[in-house]
Amino acid sequence: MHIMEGYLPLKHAAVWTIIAAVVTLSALKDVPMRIEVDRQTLLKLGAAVGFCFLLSSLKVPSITGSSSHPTGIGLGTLLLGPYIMPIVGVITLMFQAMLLAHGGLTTLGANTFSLAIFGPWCVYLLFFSMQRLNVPMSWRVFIASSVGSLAIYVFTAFQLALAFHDPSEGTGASWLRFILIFAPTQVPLSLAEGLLTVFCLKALGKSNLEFEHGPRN
Amino acid sequence: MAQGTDDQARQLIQEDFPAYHPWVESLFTPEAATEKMLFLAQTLLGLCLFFYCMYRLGVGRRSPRL
Repeated sequence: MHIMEGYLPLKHAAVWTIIAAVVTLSALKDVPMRIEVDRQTLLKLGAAVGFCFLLSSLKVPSITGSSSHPTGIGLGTLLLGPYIMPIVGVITLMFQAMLLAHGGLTTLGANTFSLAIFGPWCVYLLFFSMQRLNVPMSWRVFIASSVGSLAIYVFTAFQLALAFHDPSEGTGASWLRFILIFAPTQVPLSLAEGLLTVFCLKALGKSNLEFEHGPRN
Repeated sequence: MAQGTDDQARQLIQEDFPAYHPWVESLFTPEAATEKMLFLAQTLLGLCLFFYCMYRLGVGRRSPRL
């Protein structure tokens, strides 16, 4: 899901950077208050960053013959909520952009938006939609994490399509071309990530879930 | 090693929009061997941080199961 350095036109890069910066700064402001309410917030943040670091470093070959990596965003979202996830995303993406030339500083905003804003909100909304339907907890975690992980790639394809499309074909056709690159490789990896998230949350126990008692006000 | 989807997306841009050239390059691009080491470092860092925090959060202690 990493858009490479310089692979977004300046205007697009600037817009995504401004949006991601506003959301990330507001998340940073929220952290001290969250720590006062729940002393374990820092540990949860550490676990979320660690999980994201770990999973996004794994270049896994998929059944299509190409390789990709899981995102690790589901666990953090279910431990912390989607509000704080931009911090997790920025830490991980900065490390990869600065040291691995994976992603980039000019595309940090766009990558943060897809990985740490759009993805976590998809996980959050799916998780609660399924709660209303009385879907069992493990299934909720599995489906929300898997679909959330895949949604990140769907959104990255959208960001690329917005920047690179033939005006005669439109953004939709371009999005389809990008998503056809990402989706076949990512679907099995997202399913595996969903299973891993269920396993980790089972090990942690229900009491650590951010949303055990419903959405945060 | 199988080609990454990020690289495939970059290739698609280069093929479909040959007039587009990246307007900025990465500040630091590691050599293949260094890149492997840095990825390994990221994996180990993530692993240590994750398991330390999971342990401190009480993995294995009695708590309501999922």
